[in-house]
Amino acid sequence: MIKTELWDDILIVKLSGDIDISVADGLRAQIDGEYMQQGVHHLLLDLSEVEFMDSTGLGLILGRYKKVTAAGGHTYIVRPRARVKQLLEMSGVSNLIPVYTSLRQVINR
Amino acid sequence: MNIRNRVRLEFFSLPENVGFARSCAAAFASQLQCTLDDLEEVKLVVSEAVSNAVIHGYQQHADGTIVMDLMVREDFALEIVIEDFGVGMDDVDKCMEPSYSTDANRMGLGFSFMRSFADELRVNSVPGQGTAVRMLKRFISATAQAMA
Repeated sequence: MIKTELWDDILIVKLSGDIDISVADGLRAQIDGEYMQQGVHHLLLDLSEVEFMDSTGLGLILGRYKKVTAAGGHTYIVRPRARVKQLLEMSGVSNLIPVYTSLRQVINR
Repeated sequence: MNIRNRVRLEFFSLPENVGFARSCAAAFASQLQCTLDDLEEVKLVVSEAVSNAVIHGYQQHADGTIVMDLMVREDFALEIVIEDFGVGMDDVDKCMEPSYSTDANRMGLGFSFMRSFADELRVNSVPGQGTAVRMLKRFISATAQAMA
């Protein structure tokens, strides 16, 4: 469900499939665990392979943003599909977390 | 309004059944002349309503019963009813306010998304007895089909 890698001080988390109530708790634990273990500051969520997301998924993202922000880091979202991007905008999440069209954009920010 | 087709599903209030419910609803809706975007919207509103039943209606107890009733009406609109027999809501209007949630891990946007992506939304809830969410979804191409 997730793949992770490190780039500099950023934990890159690539999510895939459907993100809803059935997977949210597991993803939350996995992402938080990896973030703590790696000792990085920033979190990048690659949503390019997320096929479906509902408000539970948005809550998951917002929760990670709050944790990372509290730890002094930044959160980034890259490559959400059109429907997911629409929900990020409708919910106001994209006002808090910048959305980029590529990984390179974040790296070159 | 007469009904052209109907499916009624009953399932346990398990989180893994949320995906099953939305996939069933999309598969049922696909008999109508609708776009992939329309089907995505059907999946979203069903996901929100069934998640609410699991999280709030049954407070994560897995042995509750959720009933999903899907109907294609004579005017080719899709009617979706999601019903639970859980704790119900004291104040439906308050629960439907954007960003209202009793759970800190949730954004309280479920009803907002249902309202945004369904053409009609009606919620009946009785404390201690349960909640029924009724949504109506009209598809432009299906409406044209009905008028042809």
